[in-house]
Amino acid sequence: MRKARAAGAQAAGRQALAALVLGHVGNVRRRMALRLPSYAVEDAAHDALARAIGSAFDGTSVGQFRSWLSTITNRTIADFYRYRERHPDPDPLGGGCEGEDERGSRFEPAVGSEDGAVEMQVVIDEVMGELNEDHRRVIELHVFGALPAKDVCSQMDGMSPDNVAQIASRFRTRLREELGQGGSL
Amino acid sequence: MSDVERLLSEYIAEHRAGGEADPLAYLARADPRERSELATLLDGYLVRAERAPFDEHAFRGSPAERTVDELQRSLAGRSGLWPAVLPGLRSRIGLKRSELVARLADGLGVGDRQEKVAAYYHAMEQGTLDPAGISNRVLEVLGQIVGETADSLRKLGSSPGNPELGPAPEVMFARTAQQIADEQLSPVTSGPPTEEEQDEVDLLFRGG
Repeated sequence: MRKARAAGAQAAGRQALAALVLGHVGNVRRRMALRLPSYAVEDAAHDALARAIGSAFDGTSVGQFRSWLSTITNRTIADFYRYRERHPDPDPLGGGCEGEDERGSRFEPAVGSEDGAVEMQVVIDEVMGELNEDHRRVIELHVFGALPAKDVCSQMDGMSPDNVAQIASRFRTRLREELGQGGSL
Repeated sequence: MSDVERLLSEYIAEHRAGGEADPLAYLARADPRERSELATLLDGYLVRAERAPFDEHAFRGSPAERTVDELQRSLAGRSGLWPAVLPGLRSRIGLKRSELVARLADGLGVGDRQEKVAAYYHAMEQGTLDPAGISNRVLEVLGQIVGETADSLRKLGSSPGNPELGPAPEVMFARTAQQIADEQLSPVTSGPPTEEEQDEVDLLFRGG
């Protein structure tokens, strides 16, 4: 009986862990792919997930975990470039990884530095921080949520499709300005 | 609609439909002058995106399964996150375990006792060695090899894990036959050596 209960708890624990890892690993890999050379993506994604799940997170909510995982993902990317700066042996498979548009059929990002790697999220946070609450909501729904302008309006009093388009346009203009000042991919 | 807006919109549609949604494929289609903006928007979307539903078939044999295995070992073991993180750090610098052990033994000045250092390091990766007993000297040398600070390694080793997500140690999953065989051969799992039996390597890994 005790053995059966133990086996059940073991299976349930593993299932919960598997759902958490598999639920997030794809997006972590994709985010890593935007900033790291391809050879480093899989290990870095594993490392970020292991650290995020196994460390200080206390499991209070899905939203908090997503935010925590995002922080750890950014930190893991920064660690990769910091390590590479100290140990310049960039690609164990041979070949470079920066500044190339194509390697065979595979596009590679050309971030190439710790600053460049963490910049994306910082820029978004900064530009979002300049907006009032309503405008931030428009960006979340329309730009990052891909909700059509008319559907955004149906969720927000006093907002017209033209307003939505203008807010989104101004957001992207500010984003470009910030990216222009801070380097490029 | 600008090219960036169109590509972002197509990307979100593919992602939500459960497609591969490779961001690099979309960046490759963008005007080089607009890639920075598109990459930033794609990243912003991915931070906010819903997690994928669990798919047993996709999980079996995937790299995610390795992550789960190592996390389970971490959550149930005595060495915090070392089982989940140390192999990855070793992989990042492109070293086999035997090569890392050789460097570690040399760095500790016990190059003539590599076999014993190997057993202790193996126990660290398996989560069977108490981190409190490991000296700072070991963590400093190991940190220099893998590119982490001794403090960071210490914290990873003492991380309590999340009990909600892992089974209690007494119901931990059965380890593979190979691991058990390895541990049976290992001097570090057969109990601490007596004071007379202890040598410099034991003190480095068990003496605190």
